[in-house]
Amino acid sequence: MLKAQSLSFLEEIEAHSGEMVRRCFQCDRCATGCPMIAQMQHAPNELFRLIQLGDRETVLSSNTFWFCVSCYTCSVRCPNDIDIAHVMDTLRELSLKEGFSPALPQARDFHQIFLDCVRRRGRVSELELMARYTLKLRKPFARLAVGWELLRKGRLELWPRGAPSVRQLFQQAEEQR
Amino acid sequence: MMRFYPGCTLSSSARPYGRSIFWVCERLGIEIKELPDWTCCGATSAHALNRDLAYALPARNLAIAHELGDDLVVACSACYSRLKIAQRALENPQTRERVARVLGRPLDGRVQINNILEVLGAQMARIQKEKSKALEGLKVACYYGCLATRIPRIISFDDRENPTMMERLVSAAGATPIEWPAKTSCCGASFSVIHEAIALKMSSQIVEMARRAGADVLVTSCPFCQYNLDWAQWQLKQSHAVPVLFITQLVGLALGGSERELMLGAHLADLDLTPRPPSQAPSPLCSPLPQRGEGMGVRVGERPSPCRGGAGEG
Repeated sequence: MLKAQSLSFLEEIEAHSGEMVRRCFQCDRCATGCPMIAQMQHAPNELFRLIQLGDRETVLSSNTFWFCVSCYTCSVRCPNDIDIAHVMDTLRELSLKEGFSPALPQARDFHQIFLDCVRRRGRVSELELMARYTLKLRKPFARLAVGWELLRKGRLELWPRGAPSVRQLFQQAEEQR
Repeated sequence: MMRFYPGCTLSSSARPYGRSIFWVCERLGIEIKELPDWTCCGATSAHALNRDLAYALPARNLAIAHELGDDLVVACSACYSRLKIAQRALENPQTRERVARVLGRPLDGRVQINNILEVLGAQMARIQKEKSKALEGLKVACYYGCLATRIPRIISFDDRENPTMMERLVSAAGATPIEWPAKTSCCGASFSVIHEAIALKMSSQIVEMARRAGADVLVTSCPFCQYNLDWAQWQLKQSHAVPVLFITQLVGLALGGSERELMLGAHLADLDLTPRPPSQAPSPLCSPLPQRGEGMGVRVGERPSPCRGGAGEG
């Protein structure tokens, strides 16, 4: 059933992503090539149909965009030239903004910590990232074994070289949201 | 001269990649210099959470390269993809305006962005001429992963679904590339951190496919692919691991680089680079494929008739 606000949700997604979600005609190519399809509540094309129908609640609470691994298989195969993986980014962003609880809270935490590392140093120290992430998960010893192995083999940088500050850039980006 | 954008991993978990890139470039006389004041491209995390950051972080690096007037060369597939995607997005005037506000500097993304594979590909003839016989008989599965070739709306330097640049490089270096079906499959990327079980399955399936296709070694041009495939084998404590090398380590070996110069000792899983004798190489699939028509009530060699629903077809 088409609801009154149906087109407004479609238009909102299209305006934010710059992608023509209305073009999706359910050919299923995205779902066929998706390596994460087994984890998803809705296949990408199903989610797109729900967007066209304006079912905001179902779309933004779906786990689909949290399990999207951004491999871009769907995006380069879509016969209607929709950058599907990019629409997944839009949905993730909107879903968080509107307070839907993420299907993979650890993914949200990981991305937030990653960006905070960039904000503070300009570059990411994998050591800092993993230390902060495992602390956040309250599993500080979860990756000690692989961490030690990497360190032993010279594949962990202890003191990353400094990079110019990007704090201003982050501040502007936050203000613009 | 080209400016090299290393990205965050190349001084850390992918240090062997950075080391071998500089070694190979010096050996071949390709002049590269690190881009000054570069910052992180934002990787998956920026585009997962904030579209402005996803464009502004790469745009900052493009602006530096443009001011210097130099071409960029990028090795990490994720950085390459983000820089290319941002460059394409900046062609849209609205996006450009948003990003310029975030950056707070005039913005020009008109920079030639080269993938390291293109740069090496241009030296193919020299590699072929100057290679040693070190890699003779070594069977190599080339693994591209997702982001080197799958960038929407960009003219890719290689075929998106069936790239062959690394196969040609491997041939030039004197080893034998093999045909296998998983070369652009996804290794799971950041899921090796946020959901280990999924990434472990994805990565180990790729390794298993390479093993069954008879590969002695895997090569890749992506730091995340290398880490995930290497880590999966280490995690599963696989006794006969298929070593996962960076393409520049393999080319470096052919050009006379030492294990130390190319950081070959830095792998998590066992590293054994001797080719397996043909008798020990597994057949392409563990069990032979059923003959056409077998088990479908049709004798081998007999063509199933289409009026029975074509059960044997497709």
